[in-house]
Amino acid sequence: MRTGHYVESYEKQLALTTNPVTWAWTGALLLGLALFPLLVGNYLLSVAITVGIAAIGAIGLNLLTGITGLISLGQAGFLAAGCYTTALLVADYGWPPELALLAAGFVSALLSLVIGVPSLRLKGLYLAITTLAFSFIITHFLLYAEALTHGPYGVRVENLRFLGLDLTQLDQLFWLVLAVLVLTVLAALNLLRTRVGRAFTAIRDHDVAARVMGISLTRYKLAAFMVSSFVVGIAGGLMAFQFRFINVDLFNLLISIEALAMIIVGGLGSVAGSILGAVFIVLLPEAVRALTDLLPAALTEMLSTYVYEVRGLLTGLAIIVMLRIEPHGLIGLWRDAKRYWTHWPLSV
Amino acid sequence: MKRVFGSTAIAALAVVASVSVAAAAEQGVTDGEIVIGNVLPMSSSAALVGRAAHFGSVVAADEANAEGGVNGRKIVIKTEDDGYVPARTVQGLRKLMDEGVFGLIGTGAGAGTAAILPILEQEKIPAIVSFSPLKAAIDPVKPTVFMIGASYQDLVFAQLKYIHDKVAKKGARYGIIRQDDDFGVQVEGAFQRAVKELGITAVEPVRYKRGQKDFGAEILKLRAEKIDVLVAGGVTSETPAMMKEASKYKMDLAMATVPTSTLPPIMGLAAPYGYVYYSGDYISPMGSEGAAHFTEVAKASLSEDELKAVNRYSLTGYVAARMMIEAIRRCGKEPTRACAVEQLQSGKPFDTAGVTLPLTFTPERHISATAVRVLKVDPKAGSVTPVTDFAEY
Repeated sequence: MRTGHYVESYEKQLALTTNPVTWAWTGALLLGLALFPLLVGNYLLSVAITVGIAAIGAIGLNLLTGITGLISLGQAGFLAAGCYTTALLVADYGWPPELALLAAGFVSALLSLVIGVPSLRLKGLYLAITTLAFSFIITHFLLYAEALTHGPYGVRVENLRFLGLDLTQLDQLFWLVLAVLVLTVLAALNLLRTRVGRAFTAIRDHDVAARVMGISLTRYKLAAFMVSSFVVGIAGGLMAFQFRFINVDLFNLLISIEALAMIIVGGLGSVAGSILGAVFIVLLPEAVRALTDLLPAALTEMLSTYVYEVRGLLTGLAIIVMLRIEPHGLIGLWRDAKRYWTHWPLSV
Repeated sequence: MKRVFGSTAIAALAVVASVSVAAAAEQGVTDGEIVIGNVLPMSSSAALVGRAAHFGSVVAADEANAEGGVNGRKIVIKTEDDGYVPARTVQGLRKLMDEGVFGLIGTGAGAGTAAILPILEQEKIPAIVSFSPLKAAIDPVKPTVFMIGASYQDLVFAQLKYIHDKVAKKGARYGIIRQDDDFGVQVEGAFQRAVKELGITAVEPVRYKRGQKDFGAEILKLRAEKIDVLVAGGVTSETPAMMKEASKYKMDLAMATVPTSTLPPIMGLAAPYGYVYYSGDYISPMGSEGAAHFTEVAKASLSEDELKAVNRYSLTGYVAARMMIEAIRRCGKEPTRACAVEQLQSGKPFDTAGVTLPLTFTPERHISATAVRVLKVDPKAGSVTPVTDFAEY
């Protein structure tokens, strides 16, 4: 096992990884994921699609909150904007789903300027409240602009073929989500190693110092909002393919809170952490359900109608315990484990 | 040698035949069981009604099983919790499908039902929407989807007509507070219909945000408009919250509400504010003669704790489950989804043990139990009294 990183050129310094073992593991993981639909039923596939879309959205949020340090509670709004853009363009205007998905990203990115501009003067909780208000404005608009959005009746999306894939089939939708997730991960990792990515980090660490170093706060904060919202908008577009019937009820405040929970539990500022957080938050209720299903029949009968409250409590408890054990999130746990085995038997 | 070959061939054919029969067996049907599914809000703010609907379906299954099951098979009810979140309604249905489900009776709340419609159509799953009537489920007709229950438009319009004809003074002013979603749109639809057909004097409709708890501003606005009749379009506890505000100003109001206002916990919340209000329903109220048979079988089927969770939504769950079970029974020893759908829309009446009049579906009309009865609710006395007969509106 390698004990450190020793590179001798800028080229190697900029490479995603110089370790062939990492590439081999990544390839194996991707192969396993590509074969996943052949091994499981529709339910697990449906959960995996939800995890994939959540991971894309979480990466988008992490770029803004974890990397640039701008807290956003407006993710539900961007997600809704992306989802409705795709659904309406396909259902009402006959756009091909490929273009409609891209449009979801662009519309969401343009809308982000609405809160990007106030973000130039606001920070922390004040910014969080502004983004929350934006989310309310979006859902309010979707509900009342009935002529454009179908209002409370929702939008039904049919005839979904995407680059030859039939998206009404879960396995084919899974492959699309997986492909978009891989592209998002690559784009995010590459972005972080560019001047733009480093400017984002500098703004997060100390915006005044970043400005002194010649980083334009206006330009880079707006760029952070736009990039993040583009990614979240794409996740929203994928949601339109997943549900095929969307209405405004899909985008409540809970989604924004869950998105924040994903990046906090997974690890702020980490792309891998975003994915781990999405996996954890989406699968936790399923795991708790599986656990309660294992309880002896006598106990579940005793719990009777309270079994659902017990599940809710266990889910909350698991998140609290997780953050108490490892404040740096799941990615922190992973790094600690790696460090332990790297230094073993001298690890402490 | 020839004989050995012949026997082997016959044995092989028998194996192939048995495998084909097994492969052809319908989803959710085994030698001993038929699984009927629910996806309902068993947790969240809507758990009060979701659990009740689940227990109603359990009572229907237990009743059928006590009589020896359906053509020798036991009916099993499997319920998934969607937490009142449409995305989870979809996942709940996917889970049921993976585990094997024949048909669906609980289909989530309105948005949840809408979210699973594409899957129900694609997979040709017989479904009876009974928990939260949704026009889109049957208009246009979906081949395997049926619905029992009048729309909110009819339920509220029936009350407004009664209030207009029998209760309110001439020239009374009508107001409405409704939720800003698909449910609210349906309630306002009834209001607008009353404006058009009854010629009532209406003030500007007031909308509220889902999850809102305080209605001070909304009531003040309608007080300024001097209304005499209020359509209190709350889903559950919003209705008593509106009454609380109205009682502060001692507003003399006749109120129309949605069927949840007859649930005991909601009546309990409304009792302190002194209003006697109206509701509408397409089933007999709990405690009435129509619900007597259900109450009796529920006592034998449910635990004491579970009985406490029973309310009018148990009756709709019970009726839907009874209909699905009867449709399966009519299909004989080898029930298929296609046969169950055929039986459901055969036009032959389904007995609901007095909860409603016998119900029928036809290929052109996948909705039944649309006749509405207006109820007078006195929360202080704990009484729900029908003031009209069942009628179509």
